Amino acid sequence: MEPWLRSLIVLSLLGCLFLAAGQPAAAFEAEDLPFGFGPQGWQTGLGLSQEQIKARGLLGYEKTGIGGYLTQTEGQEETFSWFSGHKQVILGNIGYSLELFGGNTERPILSTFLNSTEPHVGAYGEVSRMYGDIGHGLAGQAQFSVSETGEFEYSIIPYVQFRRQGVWRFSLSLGSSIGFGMSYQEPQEKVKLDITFVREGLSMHVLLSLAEHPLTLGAGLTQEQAQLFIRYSF
Amino acid sequence: MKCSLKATAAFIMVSVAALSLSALALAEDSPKSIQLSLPPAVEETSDTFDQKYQQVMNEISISEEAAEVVDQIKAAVEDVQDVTVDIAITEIRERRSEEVVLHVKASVQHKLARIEFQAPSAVRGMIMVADQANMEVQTFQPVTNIIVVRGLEDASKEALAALSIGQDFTQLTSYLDFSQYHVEILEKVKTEGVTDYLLKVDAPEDEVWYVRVKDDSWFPHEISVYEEDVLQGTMRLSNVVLNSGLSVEEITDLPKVKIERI
Repeated sequence: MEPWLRSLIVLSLLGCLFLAAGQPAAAFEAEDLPFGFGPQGWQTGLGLSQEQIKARGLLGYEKTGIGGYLTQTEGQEETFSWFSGHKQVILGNIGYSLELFGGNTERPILSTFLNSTEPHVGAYGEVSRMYGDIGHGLAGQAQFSVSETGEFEYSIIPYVQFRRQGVWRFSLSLGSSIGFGMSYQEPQEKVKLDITFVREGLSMHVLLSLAEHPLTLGAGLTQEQAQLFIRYSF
Repeated sequence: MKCSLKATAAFIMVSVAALSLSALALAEDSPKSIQLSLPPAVEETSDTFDQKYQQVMNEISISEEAAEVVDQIKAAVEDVQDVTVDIAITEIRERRSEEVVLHVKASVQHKLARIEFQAPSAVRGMIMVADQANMEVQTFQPVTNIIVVRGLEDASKEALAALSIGQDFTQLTSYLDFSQYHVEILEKVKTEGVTDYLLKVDAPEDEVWYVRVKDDSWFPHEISVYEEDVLQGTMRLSNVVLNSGLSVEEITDLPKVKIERI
């Protein structure tokens, strides 16, 4: 049996197990089966996430969670994975978030992961401040390769954002790659869009959640690569 | 005997003078000392009597007037079905003062209350809707553009408990009912036909409230809270609209964004 087919069967069995067993499935808040087509061919896998939300004072809350996915690409023995733990604290109009992650794909943008990378660990942090309908913030990301190359990448992303039929964010990217970007999030978070222009070129990502179906459609496009996927949530 | 008659006559004169002067003093709402030219021996007696009499008269008349003002306030607020009001709360913390500005809509009938935060910038744009019927509070969070829904009991434990409106909106107007406290009128200023009263309310827990209310609405427009003669904070109420028939939609209207439950 081909290795990719074997992995695919294992992952599918895992998915079926979660579907069939209600109690184990309840251990995670959301599970999904991603199925897509990317630069390396057809991909499938399993995504899991768990998040807890609790109140922080009268005007705040905090979210703590873990999430990640594991995918297998057609014809390749290596699996791609990315896992993270995160905490977000909102106090009035001020928000803080910290995410620690590890994997061998790049940090997903709108659930889209295009490039496989060296195994790495990293951190993403963000401070956000709103003044009613407008606001600003600063995000930062750093990741260290755990392979022999020991590569280090970082980016600092100052941004401004405003609310008008959704949230619009305009950002600069400084650090290992320099550029600027724009993102949009529809009020119900059913449509999300991200456009980034860096030295390497333009990248676009879009995520569409279908309101009446447990399905999410996504697409990512760079100058060199493209990925389309559908995620079935259960 | 002559001396006794003289003293009696002086006493009667002082009494009559005190009665008429006290009436005049009350009309101007400011106690005035009465200067009388009497023989020294009689002067001492008449002054003491006058002071005591005037004090008693003032206390009685102020108490009556204060009671009337308190009754008017109570009457103005006790049958309120809904209220729209802008509230500015200035809290004194050591040497710093912090001001929170709120736009509040509340309905006893619908058991709903809405608070829009307008200042400071750390909370500007946030909207809270408390629904007593469903026992939940919805809070719109601009920073994440979502609505967080939590139990009213949990929310009331945090801060609404301080106002005790978390559990029962029918208590909304009871805060402005001062009839259970000792109240006195400290000041009365008439401007363009409207009288502005300054009341001193001996509130529980050693607090003293200074309440300003105008007789055109009888709805208090400023309340300052003192604790051991130290100003703790001031609440100003403006743009008060009572019984406008607020609809459920007017109170519960929130941005159509993602909802998350705690």
